[in-house]
Formats: sequence, structure tokens, C-alpha cells
Amino acid sequence: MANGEQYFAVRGLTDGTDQLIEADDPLAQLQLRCGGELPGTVAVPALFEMVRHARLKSLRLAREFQAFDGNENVSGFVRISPIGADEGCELMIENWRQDERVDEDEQSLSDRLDQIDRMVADLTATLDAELRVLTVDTQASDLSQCIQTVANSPRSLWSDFIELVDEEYRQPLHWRLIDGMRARVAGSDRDWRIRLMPLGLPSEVPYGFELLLVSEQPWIAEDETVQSVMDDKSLVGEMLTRVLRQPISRIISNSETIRTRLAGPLRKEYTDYASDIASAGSHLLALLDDLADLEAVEADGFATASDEVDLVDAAARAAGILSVKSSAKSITVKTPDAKPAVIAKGEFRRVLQILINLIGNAINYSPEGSAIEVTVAGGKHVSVSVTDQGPGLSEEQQLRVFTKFERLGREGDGGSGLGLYISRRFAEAMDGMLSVESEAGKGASFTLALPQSKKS
Amino acid sequence: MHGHMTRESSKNAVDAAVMDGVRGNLARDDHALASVVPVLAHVLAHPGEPLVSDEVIARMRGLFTGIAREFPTSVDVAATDAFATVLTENGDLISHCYAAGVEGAITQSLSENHGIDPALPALVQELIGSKDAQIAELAMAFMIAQSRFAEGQRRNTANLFELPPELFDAAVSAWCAWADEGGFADINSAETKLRSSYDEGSTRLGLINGLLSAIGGGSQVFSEIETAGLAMFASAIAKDSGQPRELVILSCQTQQSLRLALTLKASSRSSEAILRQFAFVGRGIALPPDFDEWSAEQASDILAASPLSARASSHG
Repeated sequence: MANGEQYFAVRGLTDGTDQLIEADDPLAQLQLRCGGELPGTVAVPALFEMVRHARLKSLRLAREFQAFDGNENVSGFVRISPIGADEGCELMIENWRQDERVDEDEQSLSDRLDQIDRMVADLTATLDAELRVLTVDTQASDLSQCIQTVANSPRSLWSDFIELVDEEYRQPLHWRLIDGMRARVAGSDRDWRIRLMPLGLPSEVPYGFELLLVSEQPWIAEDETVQSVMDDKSLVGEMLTRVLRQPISRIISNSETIRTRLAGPLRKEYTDYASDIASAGSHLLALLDDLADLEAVEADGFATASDEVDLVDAAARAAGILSVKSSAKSITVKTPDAKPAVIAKGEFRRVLQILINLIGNAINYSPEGSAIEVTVAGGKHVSVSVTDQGPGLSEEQQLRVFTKFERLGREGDGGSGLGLYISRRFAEAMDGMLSVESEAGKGASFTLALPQSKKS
Repeated sequence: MHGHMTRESSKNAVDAAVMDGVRGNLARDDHALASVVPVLAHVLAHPGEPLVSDEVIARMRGLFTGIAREFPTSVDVAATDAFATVLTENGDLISHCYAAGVEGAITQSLSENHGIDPALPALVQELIGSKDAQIAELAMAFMIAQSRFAEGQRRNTANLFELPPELFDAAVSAWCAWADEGGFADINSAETKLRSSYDEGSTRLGLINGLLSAIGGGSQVFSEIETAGLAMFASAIAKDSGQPRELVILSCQTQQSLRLALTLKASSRSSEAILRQFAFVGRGIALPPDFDEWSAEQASDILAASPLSARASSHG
């Protein structure tokens, strides 16, 4: 966009949830460059505030707004008119201007960079004037060994636990030279950058220092649920999952970073590629989990615990875990009332896994805006059913749906065809069963029946 | 023994809610007493030109009654007065009306002492004649709104639909709650009608902001009171200095010249330009030593650190 280019008036339209549904080209571009989608929630912070305010208060507003699109400062005078009760707003922006950003002066730029480093640092420490460590703090497990070293030798020098990559430099170095150097830390295979920032007035000798360790490679926290899957004595679960999970997690988290433009503005095509990579990675991870479960259920002597499981509670939790997915398709998941509890004999983790599988499938194959109902029933065999309003299954499909690798002709959506097979095996291992009732075109109802707990 | 028991039980019989109510009333009375001293101290210390005077208070009452008169309950004079009193509970609205009163008084004195037209200062005349239709139209609408404002101030009245959106919303919400308690009918449809009649863009302040935005980077032309008039001057300076407009207006009073000097400095005005404004508003004061050397940031840091600015900006 040419410097200082002007448009006469730029229009836009939002709906009752502050989603921008129509926009003239300059506004549409600004929306995308601010990380939003079209249609999608208004992503320009200043406009979002005003649109929301105007809609909630039913007031016509007219103000100047300013935004930054990654390269240029955008400003204009926006008039926002609510269309009607509980509806969206009409936007008209006059005096639209785009100007190249005036560069920040060096001081505020370096303050901002310092602030970013503070936010992303994996290790923060305070040092005294002689560069001895006073306090040190980290959340990353690969740095715990280094923390231990420091804890064992109080008032040690920073260089006792951080090793400079460039060995030409001989200690002791002036602190100004240390700031920004590359370093390695025992116990961590990541590359580190040291930030050393003086404390006290700039004109005086520092009375202490703030030391940060910043790495370009993110630290991947190990997921607890992963740990629990890996407890199973199986090849995929123990060996393969462990080695495959970490690189896949890294692929997902890095491509998410690119997709959300956290590292800076990017053309849309590239963020789309990143989004593809992230979703492919997620599918791969889900497949890996399925394979680990498959091996677990097929292993000799596979057994489940027989505890008391409240089916009502399990259903509520499964629906809660999937709430983001269901609300993305505007699907409501109705769960049974909290009381009375329906207690089954089984293993809570497996029951939850089955319910997540059933509700997840229901969400995947139901039309947008439809409803899914989860109901429970008591009796000698207690049961929980998940009923959807999807396309349903023919009798022939119902026979095949629980078979291993059965995809019912669906390809390319990343499913493994293992979910229902594994769920049924889990159900059988708990002396229960998993069945389906359906008619093509009339939705499907999957029911997990389990023995009643004698104690209830 | 018996008498003792009776006393004891009557003590217990006092309802906790009643106690709370009494406590609340006492706190309110204490607050009233506590606010007397600072007001008296201020009036006594500034015998010639206090910021609070009978005139100011009478003016403020007029403004609140004017706002209350715009609501459907205004057919009843007693109800209008009662609701005007309810409105005075909103501190932000008091600040706004106080600033509007001060703006009216200074505008009036600029007209009487310096011949600056309250509604049609030189710059507005020029803008009305602009070749840019959008600017000409805005300037014309501003001129009309500004004459209404000046006239309203002369008659001590204010218009609900001229309030900034936050205060308009607060006033409408307060009215709905109050009318609901009083058992008035049709509150919902009245509220819808009030809200749909409001447009920030056609308020006097909204029109000035529209003009400032349309003219863009050239807001320096607004920084001379003599040509721009107080209303435009205050909005332009508020925008450039990041200070709330109401504070800029208040700093144009004689007693607040230091604040005005700092505000102008914070909007990158030269000492020469600052001193020129003192011919019209405020009072010639000795500027701080080496004021020319100060940067806009230094002035705005001092302003930002003042408790009044901090409070005003937290109120939006």
C-alpha cells in the first residue's frame, strides 16, 4: 500500500456475535493482517471494543481508531450503527489512512525487546554486583539439573552452571560482553542465549543483574495423559509413542506459532500451509494414541480395573473436554442431570475414553447447529447412550462399524478407523458391551452398557 | 435479675440489617461532613476567584435538570427534579457538567473580551467554505451544535443527547432503574427510543472529532484559541497531549495555568505559542526555567504522574 494512501469510505458489517461478515477491501485486509478471518470475530482490537460496546448498549458511536497491521499504522474515523436488537452493527470508516510506521527510538525498541525476552525466558536469575547467583527460577524440566547445581553451591558464579559456546572468550568477561552470547547448559540439549541486564540507575555501577536464558526452541511440557497411556506394557505405547510424540508435538507447536503469526506478519498462503501442517500433525498424534491403545487391548492379559464409575459424571466430563469442538460447529451436547448418580463397575479412564470417542464421532458426523443427547439408564446393566442427529447408519453399516480399520468409505479425514473397535474392546474388558441403534437418515444412538456396581 | 434479662434480650432483638443500615447512613453523613472542609478551605483561600461558587452550583443544577427534562417522566416537574438529584450521584457526570459549565463561561468571556465568536470563529468560517464537501458539511453541523451549546450554557441547561456515549448510557440506565422503582410504565420502549435517537457522531464533541480526523495531520491549525475557538482548541490539544478533554478545559481557568502550559508542551507546542494562548485563557505565569528545552515526553510524564490525570484517564 502506498504511503499515506486514502480511501473515501470503507464499509463493514458485523453480526450479533461481533463477527465481521462483510468488509470492503481495506478493512478485510486489515482484519486478515491482524490475524483474523473473514467471516470471523473482529480482530482489530480498537474496532472490536467499539463494535461490542455499540452492540451491547445499542448506541451509535463515532470515533477515531488506530491499528497496526504489521507494517503500517492504520487510522480512520469510524461510525458504528447497531442494526437492531441483538443484531450486528454497520461500520463506516471515513478518512482511512495507512502510513508507514514511524520507527521507535532506540531506547523504547530495546526496552520492548527486553520485555519480550523476559516473557519468553525459560530461566530467570538475579545476580549480585560480582555476578554471583542470588536467586534462580525455572519452569523447564531440562534446566532442573542446572538449578540443582546452583542450589548445592550457594553464591556460585553464573559461569559455574552456564557454558559459553564460543570458547575463545576467557572468563572473567565484562558484563556488557556477556549480554547476548550463545551458551549451553548441562542437562539441556537446547541452544541458549544469555541476557544480562544491569539493575540500578544507568549512570551508576550496577548493584546487581538480571540474568535470563532464552532459547529459540520451545520447551515441550510432557502431558500427563500421555504418561498414562505410556504406562501400558506395549511396544507402541512404551517405545514408539515416546520417541514419536516429542517431534510431532514440536511440529504442531511450531506450525501453530507460524499459523497465528506470533513470530511476525506473514502472507496468508504461508499461514494456510502452517495450518495444514498443524492439523496433519494433530491427526498423526491421534493415530499414534489409537495404535498404542490397539496394542494395549490386543495384548495378552489385558485387564481393566473394576472401580465405581459414575456414568453421569463421566458423561459431563467428556462433553466438557469436547466443548470447544462442539461449539465450533454450534452443536449442543445435552448431558444428564447431576443427580441421581448412576454407578457402574469399570475403569473410569476407559469409560471416559469411550465416551469421548462416541461424543467426538457424533460431533464429526452431525450437521452444524444440531443437538447431541447423552442419557443414562439404571437397572441390572447400567448404560449411557449418545444420540445424534447425523446421517445415521444402514443395517449393513451397523454390522461393520465396530471392525478394526473400518472407515465406512470415509477417507482423508484423518481418522484411523480404530476408535469404535478399541471402545468396544474396552467395553468387553469391563464385562460390558457397546452397541448401536440407527436407521439411515435418522441419526444414530450408541449405547455403552456396563455391570451395575454392587455397592450402589 | 428479671430486669437484666429484658435489657439483654432487647439488645439482641435489634435486627442486624437495621444495624447495617444505620452504619451505612452514618458513613454517608461522615462523608458529607468530611467533604465540607476541603471545599471551605478552597473557597476561603481563593477569595476573589474560587473554583466553586454559588454561581457554579446554580449552573450545575440547571444542567442536571436540563438532562433530566429529556426523559419521558419530565411531564411531572417534581419527578424531573427528583431524577436530577439521582443523576448527581454519578461523579463522572458531575465532572462532565462542571467542565461544560467552565467551557461555557470561558467561551462567553472570550466573546465579550476578545470578540471571538462562540459558534463561528475564523477557522470554522474557513472550514465551512472548504472545497471538500465532507469537511464543509461537518463544519456546518458543528457550527449549529456549537451555537446550541453556547445558547444552552447561557440559559443554564444541557442536552442529554450531547453527552459522551458512556455518560449517555449511564444516565439512561440510571433513569430505567429509577423509573422502574417509581412504577412508571413503558420503560422498555422508552429506553429503546432514547438509545436509537442517540448518535455520538452528531454530538458537538463527535463532530469536532470528525473534523479533526478529516483534516488529519494538520491539527496545528487548531492550536490557536483566537482562530479555532475554545471548543476545537481543547479537543485538538486533548488529542495531541493524550489528556482528557475535560481536563484541558479545566486547565484553561485562570488558576490552572501551569497545567495548561504543561499540556500545551505535551502536545509539542513551542513556548512562544504557549505564551500567546495566555493572552486569551489562563493567566500569564512565569514558565518553568528552560521550558523551551523540555521535551513533550517530559511534560506528559509530569502530567501522567499527577493523580488527577490518572483518575481522569481511568474514567475514560
